[in-house]
Amino acid sequence: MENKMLDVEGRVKRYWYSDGIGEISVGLVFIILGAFFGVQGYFGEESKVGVILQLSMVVVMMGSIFGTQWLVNTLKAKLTYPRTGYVEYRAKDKDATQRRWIVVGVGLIVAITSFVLISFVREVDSMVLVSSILVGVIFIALRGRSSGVVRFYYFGGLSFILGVALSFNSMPRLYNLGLFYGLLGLIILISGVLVLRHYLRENPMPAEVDNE
Amino acid sequence: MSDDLRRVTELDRLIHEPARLLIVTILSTVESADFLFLQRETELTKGNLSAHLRKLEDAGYVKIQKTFKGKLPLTVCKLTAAGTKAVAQYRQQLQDFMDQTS
Repeated sequence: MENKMLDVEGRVKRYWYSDGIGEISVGLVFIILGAFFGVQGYFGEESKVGVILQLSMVVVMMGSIFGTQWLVNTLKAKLTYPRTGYVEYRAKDKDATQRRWIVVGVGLIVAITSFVLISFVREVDSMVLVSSILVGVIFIALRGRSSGVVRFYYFGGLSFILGVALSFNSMPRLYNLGLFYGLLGLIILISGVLVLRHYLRENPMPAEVDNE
Repeated sequence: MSDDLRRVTELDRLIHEPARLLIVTILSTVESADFLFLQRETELTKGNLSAHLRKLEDAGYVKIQKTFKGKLPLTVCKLTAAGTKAVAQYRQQLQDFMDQTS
């Protein structure tokens, strides 16, 4: 019986990912990040635009994270909740303000790490490799472990493979980095769209909202 | 009465009923869930789910609130502190019973 209870708990936890909207948002953030590096590479790191872009990275990251968070909430309210119901998850005893600070903190760490690596690590290969490990292990594999959604492990593996493959590329490092985030984001976005399409087919909108 | 049998009789019967156990297990995993989600997960009829929720609400285990998410009307259900305590106690009792008998 305890196992059945654990099955139910797992199913409820995975419900958040059943519509693919979360992946669409992550894919979009990565594509924005990829485009950001691409544009920075186009103008050059030492140029005025390049420096301004580097300094504005935190704002771009925060903006894209909060923007996609709004998109997730809006899409879920329009597509998911009327079809299969509304669930509010626990924030593991942390309130919303704390969560926001954690998001800001993680964004800052990623931005500062990237800034330092761009400025001081001169080997193109290590930059992409470090990013692929960071994204693959910390962001995706850990997310997969906590949610139990198998496809996150594939994304983690894909991130690492993509990072290793691109680390042998002879392109300028910012283009390489842009390509890494852009490609990974595109794959995650496509996966999210396919999951959403499947979800919408499996769960047509009820004639009337059946909320007692 | 044997110890094993006594332990079974000590289980909270309100929660031990399979449909209600499913409801409280779902609610113990989340902050709150709406009627539609509970109905889909439990596969109970609307009337059946309402009846079970009413029993849990009467016992003080569940709080039911009618609200809106945008323009969408929702009946949101949430475990109360007493409900959370009762579920934890039930699971502990069940685990102890399983440990003793296996």
